[in-house]
Amino acid sequence: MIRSGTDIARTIGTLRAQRGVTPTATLVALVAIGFFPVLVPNTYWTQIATTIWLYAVLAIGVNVVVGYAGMLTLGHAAFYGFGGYVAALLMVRSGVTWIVAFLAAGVLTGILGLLLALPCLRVQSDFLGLVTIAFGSLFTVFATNWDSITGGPSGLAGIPPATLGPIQFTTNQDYYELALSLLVVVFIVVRRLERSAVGRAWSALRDDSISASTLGVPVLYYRVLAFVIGSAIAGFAGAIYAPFITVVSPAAFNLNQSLLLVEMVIVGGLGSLPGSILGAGIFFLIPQIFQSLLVYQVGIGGAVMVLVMARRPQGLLGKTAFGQSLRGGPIARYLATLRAHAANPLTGASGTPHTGAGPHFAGAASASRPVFAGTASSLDSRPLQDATSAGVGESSGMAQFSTQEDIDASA
Amino acid sequence: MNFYLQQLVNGLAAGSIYALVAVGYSLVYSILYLVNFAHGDIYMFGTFVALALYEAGLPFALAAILACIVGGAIGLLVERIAYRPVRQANRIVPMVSALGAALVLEAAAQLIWGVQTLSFPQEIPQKIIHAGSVILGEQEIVIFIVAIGAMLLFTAALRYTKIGKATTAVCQDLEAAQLMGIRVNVVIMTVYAAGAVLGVIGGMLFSTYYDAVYIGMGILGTTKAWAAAMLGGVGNIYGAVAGGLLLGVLESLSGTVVGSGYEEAVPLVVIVAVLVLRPAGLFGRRLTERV
Repeated sequence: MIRSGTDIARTIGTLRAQRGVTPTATLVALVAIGFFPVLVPNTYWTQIATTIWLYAVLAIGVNVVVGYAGMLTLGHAAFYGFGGYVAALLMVRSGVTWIVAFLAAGVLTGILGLLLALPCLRVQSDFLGLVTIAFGSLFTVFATNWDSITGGPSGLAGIPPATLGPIQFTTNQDYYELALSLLVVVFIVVRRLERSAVGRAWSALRDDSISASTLGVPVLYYRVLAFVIGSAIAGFAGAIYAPFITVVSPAAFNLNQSLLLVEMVIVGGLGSLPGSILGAGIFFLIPQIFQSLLVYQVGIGGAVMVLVMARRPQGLLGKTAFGQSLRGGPIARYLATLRAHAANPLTGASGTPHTGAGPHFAGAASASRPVFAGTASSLDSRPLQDATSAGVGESSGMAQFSTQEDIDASA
Repeated sequence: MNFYLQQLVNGLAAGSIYALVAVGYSLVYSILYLVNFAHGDIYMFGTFVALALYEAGLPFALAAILACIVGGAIGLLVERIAYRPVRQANRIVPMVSALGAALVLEAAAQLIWGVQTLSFPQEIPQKIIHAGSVILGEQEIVIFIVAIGAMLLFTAALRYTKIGKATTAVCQDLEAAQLMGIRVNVVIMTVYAAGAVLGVIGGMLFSTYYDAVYIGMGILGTTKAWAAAMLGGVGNIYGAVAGGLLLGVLESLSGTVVGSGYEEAVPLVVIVAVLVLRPAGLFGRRLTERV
């Protein structure tokens, strides 16, 4: 099972590249994944696999916010839960069919995301991390205390099975296929977004929001859009979770789940869709081997996260780390070319302005970097401050400081 | 009226603890623009250490001092392992790293002390003083005095010592300060250690006040410190003090007006309200996006 789990992730990973794997092999692997519950008729493993697909969907939603748009969301399980509760309430109390509840859950969760992100992102995207933590605990507080609506700590039970026209989803196998279908749809939609103007805008504002806005990218709009999409995806997943487990309770959507999602995305790979699936697989399969470590799952993930940030900021399958793709990115190359022109109109034209390459442009970086070494470093992460300090540096070259020794001594 | 006055008094005691925690938090933000997720968990860990040392038979004062030292050391360690290697990276990277460090600290605390809520030594007497019609707990007064005293000491150190002045310089412009020969790394380490020590003091006061030590108080503290810092204007130390006191009072009042159980909602409501109405905080300067 473990082997097939990673194989699945790897196979889907190669779908993007379409290189090295023949279409036949891809097809066989996909069919194998689709028929997994038939090939391995084991309820336990079918449930685990279904959970992995649901968390892979959630991780993709988090990846849109964290990996693509470069913001931190630490309360995403609350959106998952909100979607689950909306679907459950609609189905149990109002008796609407599942597909209506499913759509309503996604849309309402997206609106909730909009209401949360708008005031926050208007000010500063850094704050989103803490606001979403607070929102996550708030969700738990309300789900636990607002008995009349949410059913209190024990939650809402007796959720009827999902139905889609004449099809009724009753067994674990049915929900396996349902969750897998959602994953495929979400994967394709987000992949399309990534390769559209939206995806390029995200990568530009993630790497350098000031440069992006000077180039005409409406930064606030795209940040909010990323957050709304990420929340809506979680809402849809919640609407599958509810009839799958048949109970929604506050404990299933607590802070630990949110943190786990961020860990999956970061370890799996920032801005990498196969990475999100791999991350979900890793975090659910490894505890199956080391059962006793399950309680420390989040903490161990935290340690891995620190390590990943310091040593491999792009994660396992990620192509770009925050701010790093910038050096070879279209904006950086464009600005570098402009500066080179300004500095030396005759010889500075060596760089090609904006080649229109897609979001992955790692190769071109090394060629242009040595030439524009100074520019590249000042574009790094705090362009304005670096620019001012460069000014200070020039003037300070002329004088030695009388205060230097004082301060050194104190330090 | 007396009832509200009573809530005000209760709120000021809790608020002074939030203020203490928020000061160290705010200072780290104003230097590195890093939302320090590990801050609350360092104070949680330090408080557990104080409890463990006390139960090992040390007198409480000694246990408290040692816990502060341990807290400071953890602060240094976290800075060295999780922040310094990624300081030059895109700003979300140290934030993620900070979060990772916080989760490691939580797991370590869980491994050593377990998940249950422990009781904290009640070293501050709980004698009750009647001041007119308002009941003052001696504990509340002591907490208030200790918290305000620690903050005064800290701000005095910031203003009158050389390292304090260097810190102010680094706050204003890290690169320029570096060019002027200030050892930025030393300053940053000092700030982390000092912030952690203030946090541990706050944590011990918190645990005394509520007679509880538990792992969740870390992330709760981070959220509350952030709400306090936002109220006063992020990066503004004096604002953080005022914001902390205000948050305590707001919580205490809302607990009685709206009903307990929803008290945890107060920090979020405060954060969102501040963001919508007055993003720079009540006393802050204008915020602009720093990238």
